[in-house]
Amino acid sequence: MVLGLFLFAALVFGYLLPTIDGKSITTGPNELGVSFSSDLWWVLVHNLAFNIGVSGVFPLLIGGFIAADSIASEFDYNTIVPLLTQPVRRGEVYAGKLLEKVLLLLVVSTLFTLLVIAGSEVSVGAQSHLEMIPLVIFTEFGAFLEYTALAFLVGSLARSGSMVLGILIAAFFLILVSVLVLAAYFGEQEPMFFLPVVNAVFLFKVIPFYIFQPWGVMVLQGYSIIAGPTAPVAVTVVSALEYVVAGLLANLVVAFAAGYYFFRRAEVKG
Amino acid sequence: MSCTPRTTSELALEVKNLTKSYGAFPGVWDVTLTVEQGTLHGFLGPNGSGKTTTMKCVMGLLRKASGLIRVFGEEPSGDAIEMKKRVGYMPESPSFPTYLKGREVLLTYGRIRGTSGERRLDEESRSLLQKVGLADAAEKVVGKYSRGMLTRLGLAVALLGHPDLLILDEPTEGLDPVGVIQVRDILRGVISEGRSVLLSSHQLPEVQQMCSKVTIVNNGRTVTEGSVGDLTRRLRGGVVYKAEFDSLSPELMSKLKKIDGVSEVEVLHDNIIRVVVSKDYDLRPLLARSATEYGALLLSCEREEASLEELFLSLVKEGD
Repeated sequence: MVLGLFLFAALVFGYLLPTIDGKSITTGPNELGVSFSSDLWWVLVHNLAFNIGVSGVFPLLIGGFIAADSIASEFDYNTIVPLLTQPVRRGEVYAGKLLEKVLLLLVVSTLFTLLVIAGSEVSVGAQSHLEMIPLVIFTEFGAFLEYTALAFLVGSLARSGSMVLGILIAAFFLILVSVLVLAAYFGEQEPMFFLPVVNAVFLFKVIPFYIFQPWGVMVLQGYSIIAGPTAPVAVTVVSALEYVVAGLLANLVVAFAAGYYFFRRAEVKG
Repeated sequence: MSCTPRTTSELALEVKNLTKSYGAFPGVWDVTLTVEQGTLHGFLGPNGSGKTTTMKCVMGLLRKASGLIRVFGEEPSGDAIEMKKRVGYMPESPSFPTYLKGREVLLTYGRIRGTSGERRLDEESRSLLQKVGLADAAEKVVGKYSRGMLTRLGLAVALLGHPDLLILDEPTEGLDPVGVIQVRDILRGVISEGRSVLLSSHQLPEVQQMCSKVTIVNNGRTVTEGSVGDLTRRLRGGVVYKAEFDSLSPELMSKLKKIDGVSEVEVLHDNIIRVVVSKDYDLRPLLARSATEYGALLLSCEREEASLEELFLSLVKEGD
Protein backbone atom coordinates (compact mmCIF):
# COMPACT_ATOMS: atom_id res chain seq x y z
CA MET A 1 0.00 0.00 0.00
CA VAL A 2 2.77 2.42 0.98
CA LEU A 3 4.72 1.50 -2.16
CA GLY A 4 1.59 2.00 -4.31
CA LEU A 5 0.99 5.46 -2.82
CA PHE A 6 4.62 6.32 -3.24
CA LEU A 7 4.65 5.39 -6.94
CA PHE A 8 1.30 7.07 -7.59
CA ALA A 9 2.44 10.37 -6.07
CA ALA A 10 5.76 10.21 -7.91
CA LEU A 11 3.84 9.73 -11.16
CA VAL A 12 1.53 12.68 -10.39
CA PHE A 13 4.26 15.11 -9.33
CA GLY A 14 6.96 13.90 -11.68
CA TYR A 15 5.05 13.25 -14.86
CA LEU A 16 1.34 14.16 -15.04
CA LEU A 17 1.38 17.63 -13.47
CA PRO A 18 4.52 18.84 -15.23
CA THR A 19 3.04 17.59 -18.50
CA ILE A 20 -0.17 19.60 -17.92
CA ASP A 21 1.51 22.76 -16.64
CA GLY A 22 4.77 22.68 -18.58
CA LYS A 23 6.80 23.21 -15.38
CA SER A 24 8.42 20.95 -12.82
CA ILE A 25 9.87 21.42 -9.35
CA THR A 26 13.35 22.02 -10.69
CA THR A 27 12.56 24.27 -13.62
CA GLY A 28 12.91 27.16 -11.19
CA PRO A 29 10.76 29.20 -8.87
CA ASN A 30 8.35 31.75 -10.25
CA GLU A 31 8.96 35.43 -9.86
CA LEU A 32 7.86 37.26 -6.76
CA GLY A 33 4.65 39.18 -6.87
CA VAL A 34 2.85 37.51 -9.74
CA SER A 35 -0.85 38.01 -9.20
CA PHE A 36 -3.21 35.21 -8.39
CA SER A 37 -5.98 33.96 -10.52
CA SER A 38 -9.32 34.57 -8.90
CA ASP A 39 -10.99 31.92 -10.93
CA LEU A 40 -12.95 29.65 -8.58
CA TRP A 41 -12.09 26.52 -10.55
CA TRP A 42 -8.39 27.33 -10.19
CA VAL A 43 -8.89 27.82 -6.47
CA LEU A 44 -10.67 24.54 -6.04
CA VAL A 45 -8.23 22.52 -8.08
CA HIS A 46 -4.99 24.11 -7.04
CA ASN A 47 -5.64 25.06 -3.47
CA LEU A 48 -8.15 22.64 -2.08
CA ALA A 49 -7.16 19.65 -4.18
CA PHE A 50 -3.48 20.19 -3.60
CA ASN A 51 -3.51 21.61 -0.12
CA ILE A 52 -5.77 19.00 1.30
CA GLY A 53 -5.98 16.22 -1.22
CA VAL A 54 -2.42 15.69 -2.33
CA SER A 55 -0.09 17.80 -0.20
CA GLY A 56 -1.95 16.77 2.90
CA VAL A 57 -3.14 13.23 2.43
CA PHE A 58 -0.04 11.82 0.75
CA PRO A 59 2.47 12.55 3.56
CA LEU A 60 -0.22 11.70 6.12
CA LEU A 61 -0.70 8.25 4.66
CA ILE A 62 2.98 7.55 3.96
CA GLY A 63 4.21 8.90 7.32
CA GLY A 64 1.24 7.46 9.20
CA PHE A 65 1.47 4.00 7.67
CA ILE A 66 5.21 3.78 8.17
CA ALA A 67 5.02 4.96 11.79
CA ALA A 68 1.95 2.89 12.66
CA ASP A 69 4.14 -0.11 11.88
CA SER A 70 6.32 0.75 14.85
CA ILE A 71 5.38 1.27 18.50
CA ALA A 72 1.66 0.72 17.94
CA SER A 73 2.13 -2.52 16.01
CA GLU A 74 4.62 -3.79 18.62
CA PHE A 75 1.74 -3.54 21.10
CA ASP A 76 -0.75 -4.92 18.54
CA TYR A 77 1.27 -8.08 17.97
CA ASN A 78 2.70 -8.33 21.50
CA THR A 79 6.25 -8.24 20.14
CA ILE A 80 6.80 -5.46 22.68
CA VAL A 81 6.90 -8.09 25.47
CA PRO A 82 10.22 -9.75 24.61
CA LEU A 83 11.69 -6.27 24.07
CA LEU A 84 10.58 -4.74 27.36
CA THR A 85 11.61 -7.78 29.39
CA GLN A 86 15.22 -7.55 28.21
CA PRO A 87 17.76 -5.53 30.22
CA VAL A 88 17.29 -2.42 28.11
CA ARG A 89 15.87 1.00 28.96
CA ARG A 90 12.49 1.95 27.52
CA GLY A 91 14.14 5.15 26.31
CA GLU A 92 16.55 3.08 24.23
CA VAL A 93 13.69 1.09 22.71
CA TYR A 94 11.87 4.33 21.84
CA ALA A 95 15.00 5.97 20.44
CA GLY A 96 15.76 2.85 18.39
CA LYS A 97 12.29 2.84 16.88
CA LEU A 98 12.56 6.57 16.15
CA LEU A 99 15.98 6.29 14.53
CA GLU A 100 14.75 3.43 12.34
CA LYS A 101 11.85 5.55 11.07
CA VAL A 102 13.97 8.67 10.59
CA LEU A 103 16.42 6.76 8.40
CA LEU A 104 13.63 5.06 6.48
CA LEU A 105 11.86 8.39 5.84
CA LEU A 106 15.10 9.98 4.67
CA VAL A 107 15.47 7.19 2.13
CA VAL A 108 11.79 7.51 1.13
CA SER A 109 12.08 11.31 0.72
CA THR A 110 15.26 11.05 -1.33
CA LEU A 111 13.90 8.30 -3.57
CA PHE A 112 10.65 10.19 -4.04
CA THR A 113 12.43 13.40 -5.07
CA LEU A 114 14.69 11.55 -7.47
CA LEU A 115 11.70 9.75 -8.99
CA VAL A 116 9.81 13.04 -9.40
CA ILE A 117 12.80 14.67 -11.08
CA ALA A 118 13.31 11.66 -13.35
CA GLY A 119 9.62 11.87 -14.30
CA SER A 120 10.00 15.60 -14.98
CA GLU A 121 12.98 14.96 -17.24
CA VAL A 122 10.73 12.75 -19.32
CA SER A 123 7.72 15.08 -19.31
CA VAL A 124 9.18 18.60 -19.63
CA GLY A 125 12.80 18.05 -20.56
CA ALA A 126 16.09 18.80 -18.81
CA GLN A 127 15.86 20.12 -15.26
CA SER A 128 17.73 23.33 -14.61
CA HIS A 129 17.52 24.08 -10.89
CA LEU A 130 18.91 20.91 -9.37
CA GLU A 131 20.18 22.90 -6.38
CA MET A 132 16.56 22.75 -5.19
CA ILE A 133 16.85 19.02 -4.52
CA PRO A 134 18.04 19.26 -0.86
CA LEU A 135 15.23 21.73 -0.06
CA VAL A 136 12.62 19.46 -1.59
CA ILE A 137 14.00 16.43 0.24
CA PHE A 138 13.99 18.41 3.49
CA THR A 139 10.42 19.60 3.12
CA GLU A 140 9.13 16.14 2.22
CA PHE A 141 11.11 14.59 5.06
CA GLY A 142 9.75 17.22 7.47
CA ALA A 143 6.17 16.52 6.44
CA PHE A 144 6.60 12.75 6.76
CA LEU A 145 8.40 13.12 10.08
CA GLU A 146 5.68 15.28 11.57
CA TYR A 147 3.11 12.56 10.94
CA THR A 148 5.57 10.01 12.28
CA ALA A 149 5.88 12.04 15.49
CA LEU A 150 2.11 12.25 15.79
CA ALA A 151 1.85 8.50 15.11
CA PHE A 152 4.41 7.79 17.86
CA LEU A 153 2.39 9.91 20.27
CA VAL A 154 -0.96 8.36 19.36
CA GLY A 155 0.62 4.88 19.14
CA SER A 156 2.05 5.13 22.67
CA LEU A 157 -1.37 6.20 23.94
CA ALA A 158 -3.71 3.98 21.90
CA ARG A 159 -1.31 1.03 21.43
CA SER A 160 -3.11 -0.03 18.24
CA GLY A 161 -1.95 0.48 14.66
CA SER A 162 -5.42 0.83 13.16
CA MET A 163 -6.40 3.38 15.82
CA VAL A 164 -3.30 5.40 15.01
CA LEU A 165 -4.32 5.81 11.39
CA GLY A 166 -7.94 6.53 12.28
CA ILE A 167 -7.00 9.19 14.82
CA LEU A 168 -4.44 10.79 12.48
CA ILE A 169 -6.96 11.03 9.62
CA ALA A 170 -9.62 12.44 11.96
CA ALA A 171 -7.17 14.99 13.40
CA PHE A 172 -6.05 15.93 9.90
CA PHE A 173 -9.51 16.85 8.69
CA LEU A 174 -10.53 18.44 11.98
CA ILE A 175 -7.51 20.75 12.06
CA LEU A 176 -7.69 21.66 8.38
CA VAL A 177 -11.40 22.44 8.50
CA SER A 178 -10.89 24.54 11.64
CA VAL A 179 -8.06 26.49 10.01
CA LEU A 180 -10.09 26.95 6.85
CA VAL A 181 -12.97 28.44 8.82
CA LEU A 182 -10.70 30.63 10.96
CA ALA A 183 -8.79 31.89 7.94
CA ALA A 184 -11.99 32.62 6.10
CA TYR A 185 -13.23 34.86 8.90
CA PHE A 186 -10.08 36.36 10.36
CA GLY A 187 -7.69 36.15 7.45
CA GLU A 188 -4.63 34.03 7.32
CA GLN A 189 -2.39 34.50 10.33
CA GLU A 190 1.20 33.30 10.65
CA PRO A 191 0.66 31.40 13.94
CA MET A 192 -1.61 29.05 12.01
CA PHE A 193 1.52 27.59 10.45
CA PHE A 194 2.54 26.38 13.89
CA LEU A 195 -0.33 23.96 14.00
CA PRO A 196 0.42 20.31 13.45
CA VAL A 197 -0.92 19.08 10.11
CA VAL A 198 -1.00 22.67 8.74
CA ASN A 199 2.76 23.01 8.66
CA ALA A 200 3.10 19.46 7.32
CA VAL A 201 0.72 20.40 4.49
CA PHE A 202 2.71 23.55 3.80
CA LEU A 203 6.01 21.72 3.83
CA PHE A 204 4.78 19.25 1.31
CA LYS A 205 3.17 22.02 -0.72
CA VAL A 206 6.60 23.25 -1.74
CA ILE A 207 6.39 20.82 -4.63
CA PRO A 208 3.10 22.00 -6.14
CA PHE A 209 4.16 25.58 -5.37
CA TYR A 210 7.05 25.21 -7.68
CA ILE A 211 4.84 23.81 -10.34
CA PHE A 212 1.80 26.04 -10.09
CA GLN A 213 2.08 28.99 -7.82
CA PRO A 214 3.97 32.24 -8.01
CA TRP A 215 7.02 32.03 -5.79
CA GLY A 216 7.15 34.68 -3.14
CA VAL A 217 3.63 34.58 -1.75
CA MET A 218 2.32 31.68 0.23
CA VAL A 219 -1.30 32.11 1.07
CA LEU A 220 -4.32 29.98 1.11
CA GLN A 221 -5.84 31.96 -1.69
CA GLY A 222 -9.07 30.08 -1.47
CA TYR A 223 -9.69 31.44 2.01
CA SER A 224 -9.34 35.05 0.93
CA ILE A 225 -11.76 34.52 -1.90
CA ILE A 226 -14.28 32.88 0.38
CA ALA A 227 -13.80 35.55 3.03
CA GLY A 228 -14.00 38.40 0.61
CA PRO A 229 -11.84 41.49 0.22
CA THR A 230 -11.46 42.09 3.97
CA ALA A 231 -9.15 39.10 4.41
CA PRO A 232 -5.47 39.95 4.24
CA VAL A 233 -3.64 38.12 1.49
CA ALA A 234 -0.01 38.97 2.05
CA VAL A 235 1.97 36.43 3.94
CA THR A 236 5.33 36.11 2.26
CA VAL A 237 7.01 32.82 1.58
CA VAL A 238 9.93 33.69 3.82
CA SER A 239 7.64 34.61 6.69
CA ALA A 240 5.47 31.56 6.17
CA LEU A 241 8.45 29.21 5.88
CA GLU A 242 9.92 30.56 9.11
CA TYR A 243 6.70 29.75 10.89
CA VAL A 244 6.36 26.43 9.13
CA VAL A 245 9.87 25.30 10.06
CA ALA A 246 9.58 26.64 13.61
CA GLY A 247 6.18 24.96 13.90
CA LEU A 248 7.59 21.72 12.58
CA LEU A 249 10.42 21.71 15.12
CA ALA A 250 8.05 22.57 17.97
CA ASN A 251 5.61 19.87 16.91
CA LEU A 252 8.36 17.27 16.58
CA VAL A 253 9.76 18.04 20.02
CA VAL A 254 6.34 18.09 21.71
CA ALA A 255 4.96 14.99 19.94
CA PHE A 256 8.08 12.86 20.38
CA ALA A 257 8.51 13.94 24.03
CA ALA A 258 4.86 13.31 24.86
CA GLY A 259 5.03 10.00 22.95
CA TYR A 260 8.02 8.99 25.06
CA TYR A 261 6.24 9.97 28.28
CA PHE A 262 3.27 7.77 27.43
CA PHE A 263 5.49 4.95 26.14
CA ARG A 264 7.39 4.89 29.44
CA ARG A 265 4.11 4.60 31.33
CA ALA A 266 2.48 2.15 28.93
CA GLU A 267 1.38 -1.16 30.42
CA VAL A 268 1.27 -4.41 28.45
CA LYS A 269 -2.12 -5.84 29.29
CA GLY A 270 -2.91 -8.17 26.40
CA MET B 1 18.86 -1.93 41.25
CA SER B 2 22.42 -2.94 41.89
CA CYS B 3 23.81 -6.38 41.20
CA THR B 4 24.30 -7.99 44.57
CA PRO B 5 26.47 -11.00 45.33
CA ARG B 6 24.34 -14.13 45.58
CA THR B 7 23.87 -15.92 48.83
CA THR B 8 22.09 -19.23 49.22
CA SER B 9 19.88 -17.84 51.94
CA GLU B 10 18.21 -15.18 49.82
CA LEU B 11 15.04 -15.82 47.93
CA ALA B 12 15.00 -15.73 44.17
CA LEU B 13 11.61 -14.06 44.18
CA GLU B 14 9.40 -12.68 46.89
CA VAL B 15 5.94 -11.25 46.26
CA LYS B 16 3.94 -9.98 49.23
CA ASN B 17 0.33 -8.79 49.27
CA LEU B 18 0.45 -7.75 45.63
CA THR B 19 -2.54 -5.87 44.26
CA LYS B 20 -3.24 -4.70 40.75
CA SER B 21 -6.53 -3.72 39.17
CA TYR B 22 -7.68 -3.06 35.62
CA GLY B 23 -10.07 -0.18 36.13
CA ALA B 24 -12.96 -1.51 38.18
CA PHE B 25 -11.87 -5.12 37.68
CA PRO B 26 -9.44 -6.36 40.34
CA GLY B 27 -6.80 -8.40 38.46
CA VAL B 28 -4.84 -9.33 41.58
CA TRP B 29 -6.15 -8.68 45.06
CA ASP B 30 -3.66 -10.22 47.48
CA VAL B 31 -1.00 -12.47 46.01
CA THR B 32 1.91 -13.66 48.08
CA LEU B 33 4.53 -16.12 46.88
CA THR B 34 8.15 -16.96 47.51
CA VAL B 35 10.51 -18.79 45.20
CA GLU B 36 13.56 -20.21 46.90
CA GLN B 37 16.85 -20.27 45.05
CA GLY B 38 17.58 -23.47 43.18
CA THR B 39 13.97 -24.65 43.18
CA LEU B 40 11.25 -25.15 40.63
CA HIS B 41 8.14 -23.44 41.96
CA GLY B 42 4.70 -24.12 40.49
CA PHE B 43 2.24 -21.25 40.21
CA LEU B 44 -1.27 -22.60 39.82
CA GLY B 45 -4.74 -21.20 39.51
CA PRO B 46 -7.77 -21.25 37.25
CA ASN B 47 -7.96 -18.95 34.22
CA GLY B 48 -8.21 -15.31 35.26
CA SER B 49 -6.97 -15.99 38.79
CA GLY B 50 -4.09 -13.51 38.52
CA LYS B 51 -1.05 -15.64 37.59
CA THR B 52 -0.14 -13.76 34.42
CA THR B 53 -0.85 -10.39 36.05
CA THR B 54 1.50 -11.27 38.92
CA MET B 55 4.24 -12.34 36.52
CA LYS B 56 3.81 -9.18 34.45
CA CYS B 57 4.02 -7.03 37.57
CA VAL B 58 7.30 -8.74 38.47
CA MET B 59 8.68 -8.08 34.98
CA GLY B 60 7.55 -4.42 35.00
CA LEU B 61 5.07 -4.90 32.17
CA LEU B 62 2.29 -3.84 34.54
CA ARG B 63 2.49 -1.37 37.43
CA LYS B 64 1.45 -2.82 40.78
CA ALA B 65 -1.05 -0.85 42.85
CA SER B 66 0.48 -1.96 46.15
CA GLY B 67 2.48 -4.76 47.71
CA LEU B 68 6.09 -5.81 47.64
CA ILE B 69 8.13 -7.42 44.88
CA ARG B 70 11.72 -8.45 45.54
CA VAL B 71 13.95 -10.24 43.06
CA PHE B 72 17.11 -11.65 44.65
CA GLY B 73 16.46 -9.43 47.64
CA GLU B 74 16.14 -6.18 45.69
CA GLU B 75 13.03 -4.23 44.77
CA PRO B 76 13.03 -3.55 41.01
CA SER B 77 12.63 0.12 40.14
CA GLY B 78 12.74 2.22 36.98
CA ASP B 79 13.82 0.13 34.02
CA ALA B 80 15.14 -2.55 36.42
CA ILE B 81 18.08 -3.30 34.13
CA GLU B 82 20.10 -5.26 36.69
CA MET B 83 17.08 -7.35 37.67
CA LYS B 84 16.29 -8.17 34.03
CA LYS B 85 19.88 -9.30 33.48
CA ARG B 86 19.23 -12.06 36.02
CA VAL B 87 15.70 -12.97 34.93
CA GLY B 88 14.45 -14.70 31.79
CA TYR B 89 10.74 -14.32 31.02
CA MET B 90 8.51 -16.29 28.73
CA PRO B 91 4.97 -14.95 28.17
CA GLU B 92 1.95 -17.18 27.65
CA SER B 93 1.88 -16.67 23.87
CA PRO B 94 5.33 -15.55 22.76
CA SER B 95 5.38 -13.28 19.67
CA PHE B 96 8.36 -12.24 17.61
CA PRO B 97 8.79 -10.22 14.40
CA THR B 98 7.46 -12.57 11.74
CA TYR B 99 10.08 -11.65 9.14
CA LEU B 100 12.98 -12.88 11.30
CA LYS B 101 14.28 -16.44 11.15
CA GLY B 102 14.37 -18.48 14.35
CA ARG B 103 18.15 -18.12 14.66
CA GLU B 104 17.96 -14.39 13.94
CA VAL B 105 15.44 -13.95 16.76
CA LEU B 106 17.92 -15.40 19.24
CA LEU B 107 20.80 -13.37 17.82
CA THR B 108 18.72 -10.17 17.99
CA TYR B 109 17.54 -10.63 21.58
CA GLY B 110 20.98 -11.91 22.56
CA ARG B 111 22.48 -8.64 21.31
CA ILE B 112 19.82 -6.66 23.16
CA ARG B 113 20.67 -8.63 26.31
CA GLY B 114 24.24 -7.56 25.81
CA THR B 115 25.83 -10.95 25.18
CA SER B 116 29.38 -10.08 24.18
CA GLY B 117 31.04 -11.57 21.12
CA GLU B 118 29.22 -12.55 17.94
CA ARG B 119 30.84 -16.01 17.93
CA ARG B 120 29.76 -16.71 21.48
CA LEU B 121 26.26 -15.47 20.72
CA ASP B 122 26.07 -17.61 17.60
CA GLU B 123 27.15 -20.67 19.59
CA GLU B 124 24.63 -19.94 22.34
CA SER B 125 21.82 -19.48 19.80
CA ARG B 126 22.60 -22.77 18.06
CA SER B 127 22.85 -24.60 21.35
CA LEU B 128 19.52 -23.20 22.60
CA LEU B 129 17.75 -24.03 19.33
CA GLN B 130 19.08 -27.57 19.63
CA LYS B 131 17.95 -27.76 23.26
CA VAL B 132 14.36 -26.67 22.52
CA GLY B 133 14.13 -28.88 19.43
CA LEU B 134 14.19 -26.13 16.82
CA ALA B 135 17.56 -26.86 15.20
CA ASP B 136 15.88 -27.91 11.96
CA ALA B 137 13.72 -24.78 11.87
CA ALA B 138 16.55 -22.35 12.66
CA GLU B 139 16.53 -20.89 9.15
CA LYS B 140 12.75 -20.76 8.82
CA VAL B 141 10.99 -17.40 9.25
CA VAL B 142 8.99 -17.07 12.45
CA GLY B 143 5.86 -16.21 10.45
CA LYS B 144 5.75 -19.85 9.36
CA TYR B 145 6.18 -21.26 12.89
CA SER B 146 3.34 -23.23 14.50
CA ARG B 147 2.05 -22.36 17.98
CA GLY B 148 4.21 -25.09 19.52
CA MET B 149 7.31 -23.86 17.68
CA LEU B 150 6.70 -20.32 18.92
CA THR B 151 6.44 -21.66 22.47
CA ARG B 152 9.78 -23.45 22.04
CA LEU B 153 11.34 -20.28 20.62
CA GLY B 154 9.92 -18.27 23.52
CA LEU B 155 11.58 -20.65 25.95
CA ALA B 156 14.89 -20.35 24.07
CA VAL B 157 14.69 -16.53 24.30
CA ALA B 158 13.97 -16.76 28.03
CA LEU B 159 17.04 -18.97 28.44
CA LEU B 160 19.32 -16.48 26.65
CA GLY B 161 22.14 -15.17 28.79
CA HIS B 162 21.87 -17.98 31.36
CA PRO B 163 19.47 -16.16 33.74
CA ASP B 164 19.41 -17.04 37.43
CA LEU B 165 15.61 -16.99 37.56
CA LEU B 166 13.22 -18.13 34.86
CA ILE B 167 9.62 -16.90 34.93
CA LEU B 168 7.62 -19.06 32.57
CA ASP B 169 3.95 -18.54 31.80
CA GLU B 170 2.48 -21.80 30.47
CA PRO B 171 5.69 -23.08 28.85
CA THR B 172 4.13 -26.38 27.75
CA GLU B 173 1.02 -24.84 26.20
CA GLY B 174 0.55 -26.06 22.63
CA LEU B 175 3.46 -28.51 22.83
CA ASP B 176 3.34 -32.11 21.65
CA PRO B 177 4.29 -34.85 24.18
CA VAL B 178 7.90 -34.83 22.95
CA GLY B 179 8.01 -31.08 23.48
CA VAL B 180 6.62 -31.43 27.00
CA ILE B 181 9.34 -33.96 27.86
CA GLN B 182 11.99 -31.66 26.38
CA VAL B 183 10.77 -28.73 28.49
CA ARG B 184 10.78 -30.94 31.58
CA ASP B 185 14.39 -31.99 30.86
CA ILE B 186 15.45 -28.40 30.24
CA LEU B 187 13.93 -27.22 33.51
CA ARG B 188 15.53 -30.08 35.44
CA GLY B 189 18.85 -29.04 33.91
CA VAL B 190 18.25 -25.43 34.99
CA ILE B 191 17.52 -26.51 38.56
CA SER B 192 20.54 -28.82 38.66
CA GLU B 193 22.68 -25.74 37.94
CA GLY B 194 21.30 -24.05 41.06
CA ARG B 195 19.06 -21.68 39.15
CA SER B 196 15.41 -21.08 39.97
CA VAL B 197 12.16 -21.35 38.03
CA LEU B 198 8.68 -19.96 38.59
CA LEU B 199 6.37 -21.98 36.39
CA SER B 200 2.72 -21.31 35.69
CA SER B 201 0.90 -24.26 34.20
CA HIS B 202 -2.42 -26.04 33.91
CA GLN B 203 -0.62 -29.40 33.49
CA LEU B 204 -1.05 -30.46 37.10
CA PRO B 205 0.55 -33.93 36.81
CA GLU B 206 3.61 -32.22 35.27
CA VAL B 207 3.76 -29.69 38.08
CA GLN B 208 3.37 -32.40 40.73
CA GLN B 209 6.20 -34.35 39.14
CA MET B 210 8.58 -31.42 38.71
CA CYS B 211 7.92 -28.75 41.33
CA SER B 212 9.18 -28.87 44.89
CA LYS B 213 6.76 -26.16 45.98
CA VAL B 214 3.57 -24.67 44.63
CA THR B 215 1.51 -21.54 45.16
CA ILE B 216 -2.18 -21.77 44.33
CA VAL B 217 -4.12 -18.60 43.57
CA ASN B 218 -7.81 -18.10 43.03
CA ASN B 219 -9.82 -14.94 42.39
CA GLY B 220 -6.65 -12.86 42.63
CA ARG B 221 -5.62 -14.16 46.07
CA THR B 222 -3.09 -16.70 47.25
CA VAL B 223 -5.03 -19.67 48.58
CA THR B 224 -2.09 -21.74 49.75
CA GLU B 225 1.64 -22.23 49.36
CA GLY B 226 3.90 -25.12 50.31
CA SER B 227 5.42 -28.38 49.14
CA VAL B 228 3.10 -30.63 47.15
CA GLY B 229 3.50 -33.41 49.76
CA ASP B 230 2.63 -31.15 52.71
CA LEU B 231 -0.34 -29.64 50.97
CA THR B 232 -1.86 -32.94 49.89
CA ARG B 233 -1.30 -34.39 53.38
CA ARG B 234 -3.05 -31.38 54.83
CA LEU B 235 -5.93 -31.91 52.40
CA ARG B 236 -6.44 -35.53 53.45
CA GLY B 237 -5.70 -34.99 57.13
CA GLY B 238 -2.62 -37.24 56.92
CA VAL B 239 -0.95 -40.00 54.92
CA VAL B 240 -3.37 -42.51 53.42
CA TYR B 241 -2.72 -46.27 53.12
CA LYS B 242 -4.86 -48.84 51.35
CA ALA B 243 -4.42 -52.38 52.68
CA GLU B 244 -5.93 -55.77 51.76
CA PHE B 245 -6.08 -58.72 54.22
CA ASP B 246 -7.18 -62.33 53.65
CA SER B 247 -9.65 -61.88 56.51
CA LEU B 248 -10.68 -58.94 58.64
CA SER B 249 -11.88 -59.56 62.21
CA PRO B 250 -13.36 -56.87 64.52
CA GLU B 251 -10.39 -57.46 66.86
CA LEU B 252 -7.92 -56.70 64.09
CA MET B 253 -9.86 -53.55 63.21
CA SER B 254 -9.79 -52.48 66.83
CA LYS B 255 -6.04 -53.13 67.04
CA LEU B 256 -5.39 -51.10 63.89
CA LYS B 257 -7.29 -48.11 65.30
CA LYS B 258 -5.02 -48.15 68.35
CA ILE B 259 -1.76 -47.88 66.33
CA ASP B 260 0.09 -44.68 67.20
CA GLY B 261 -0.75 -41.91 64.76
CA VAL B 262 -3.68 -43.66 63.08
CA SER B 263 -6.57 -41.22 62.93
CA GLU B 264 -9.04 -43.13 60.81
CA VAL B 265 -9.69 -46.71 59.67
CA GLU B 266 -12.41 -47.31 57.13
CA VAL B 267 -13.56 -50.53 55.44
CA LEU B 268 -13.80 -49.87 51.73
CA HIS B 269 -15.13 -53.27 50.63
CA ASP B 270 -14.59 -56.97 51.44
CA ASN B 271 -11.28 -57.14 53.30
CA ILE B 272 -9.89 -53.87 51.97
CA ILE B 273 -9.38 -50.94 54.33
CA ARG B 274 -8.25 -47.33 54.14
CA VAL B 275 -6.06 -46.07 56.97
CA VAL B 276 -5.23 -42.40 57.56
CA VAL B 277 -2.08 -41.69 59.59
CA SER B 278 -1.40 -38.22 60.91
CA LYS B 279 2.36 -38.90 61.17
CA ASP B 280 4.46 -39.47 58.09
CA TYR B 281 6.07 -42.88 58.67
CA ASP B 282 6.00 -46.31 57.04
CA LEU B 283 2.91 -48.09 58.35
CA ARG B 284 3.38 -51.34 56.43
CA PRO B 285 5.50 -53.31 59.00
CA LEU B 286 3.01 -52.41 61.75
CA LEU B 287 0.06 -53.54 59.65
CA ALA B 288 1.78 -56.83 58.80
CA ARG B 289 2.65 -57.46 62.47
CA SER B 290 -0.90 -56.72 63.63
CA ALA B 291 -2.38 -59.04 61.00
CA THR B 292 -0.12 -61.90 62.07
CA GLU B 293 -1.03 -61.26 65.72
CA TYR B 294 -4.72 -61.80 64.92
CA GLY B 295 -4.23 -64.75 62.55
CA ALA B 296 -4.68 -62.81 59.34
CA LEU B 297 -2.43 -62.19 56.39
CA LEU B 298 -1.62 -58.82 54.84
CA LEU B 299 -2.00 -59.39 51.08
CA SER B 300 -1.11 -55.90 49.85
CA CYS B 301 -0.51 -52.43 51.19
CA GLU B 302 0.19 -49.26 49.30
CA ARG B 303 0.57 -45.66 50.22
CA GLU B 304 -1.96 -43.53 48.34
CA GLU B 305 -0.55 -40.26 47.12
CA ALA B 306 -3.13 -37.52 46.84
CA SER B 307 -2.93 -35.81 43.48
CA LEU B 308 -2.25 -32.15 43.03
CA GLU B 309 -5.38 -32.12 40.91
CA GLU B 310 -7.43 -33.22 43.92
CA LEU B 311 -5.85 -30.50 46.05
CA PHE B 312 -6.28 -27.87 43.36
CA LEU B 313 -9.95 -28.64 42.79
CA SER B 314 -10.68 -28.70 46.48
CA LEU B 315 -9.02 -25.34 47.13
CA VAL B 316 -10.48 -23.65 44.10
CA LYS B 317 -14.01 -24.87 44.93
CA GLU B 318 -13.51 -23.70 48.50
CA GLY B 319 -12.47 -20.26 47.24
CA ASP B 320 -15.50 -19.97 44.96
